[in-house]
Amino acid sequence: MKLLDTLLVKTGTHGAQRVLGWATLVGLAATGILGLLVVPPDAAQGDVQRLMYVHVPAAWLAFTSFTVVFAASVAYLRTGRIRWDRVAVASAEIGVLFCVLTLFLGSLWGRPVWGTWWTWDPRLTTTVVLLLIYVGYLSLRKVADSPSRRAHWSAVVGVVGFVDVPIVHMSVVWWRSLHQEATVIRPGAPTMEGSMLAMLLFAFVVFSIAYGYLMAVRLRVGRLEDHAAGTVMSQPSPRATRPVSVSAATSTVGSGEHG
Amino acid sequence: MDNVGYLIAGYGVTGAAIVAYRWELSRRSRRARRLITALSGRRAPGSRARR
Repeated sequence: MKLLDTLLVKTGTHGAQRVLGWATLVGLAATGILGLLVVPPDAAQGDVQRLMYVHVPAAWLAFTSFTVVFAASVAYLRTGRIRWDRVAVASAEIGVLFCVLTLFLGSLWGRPVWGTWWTWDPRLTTTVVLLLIYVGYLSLRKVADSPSRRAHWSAVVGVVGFVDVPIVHMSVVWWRSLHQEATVIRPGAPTMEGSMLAMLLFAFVVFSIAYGYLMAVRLRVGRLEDHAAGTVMSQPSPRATRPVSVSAATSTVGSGEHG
Repeated sequence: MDNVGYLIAGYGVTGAAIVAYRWELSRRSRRARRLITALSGRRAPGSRARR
C-alpha cells in the first residue's frame, strides 16, 4: 500500500504525466508496428493471432485495474481517507474500459478462429460477469446520496466484486472451456515461441505505462471534480439570500392553512 | 497477410478507445475548472498560468 501511495505521489506532477503520456503514445505506436508487421505470424492461426498482442495485455490491464480497486477499497475501509476512494473509482473506470476492449478483441479473434463471434464459454461468461460487477460499481456511485456513503458502499462492492478476478483466471482450469489455457502465467515455462513471447511482454509493459498515465490524469480530474463539487456545496442557496417580503411570507402561510 | 479487416478493427478500436477516454478526461477537467472559476472567482488548483 505504501508503494502504491508513493507511485501516486510521483506520477501526480505535470512533468511525470507528460513523460508518461509520450511514453504511452510511442509505446502504442511501436506495439502496432511490431505486432502487425515485424513479429512472424502463427503457424496454425495465421495473422489473426496478432490480435493477441493487444487482447492479452488489455485483459492483464483489466485484472490489474480491478486489483487496484480491491487494494484501494480495503485501504479506504481501514483508514476512511477519501483519496483511496478516488484511486478506486479511477482504477475501476480504466478497468471497465479495458474489460470492454478485452471482450471486443476476443470476439474479433474468435470469429475466424472459433467460427463464432460469441459463445457462452466459462472464460467469456465470467469475464462478462466481471464487467457487469464494475459497471454496477460505477452506477452505484451515481445513486448514493452523500460522498461518505458513496465511498463506503463502493468500497464494499470493490472488495466483494474482486472475488470474480481469480475465478476468471482459473475458469479455463476448473471447467471445460473452448478458451485456451494460460500460456505465460502458468506453472513451468511459457509455451510461446521466443519472439512472440518478447512481443507480448513488450505489449504488457506498454499497456502498464498506459495504465499509469491514465490513472495519473484520472486522479487529477477526480481531485478537480471533488473540488468543484465542494465549491458548489459551499455556495449559499438562492433561497437563503433572496429577501423575502412580509406579504409573500404571509400569503404562503395562508395558502398552507387553506391547503 | 490474411484477415486484415480483423487486425485493423482490433488495433484501430484499441487506439481509438484510449484516445477517446483521454479526450473525455480532458473535457471533464475543463468543465470542473470552469465551474470552480465561475463560482469562486479563483483559478482552479493545479492550473498553470497562461503565457
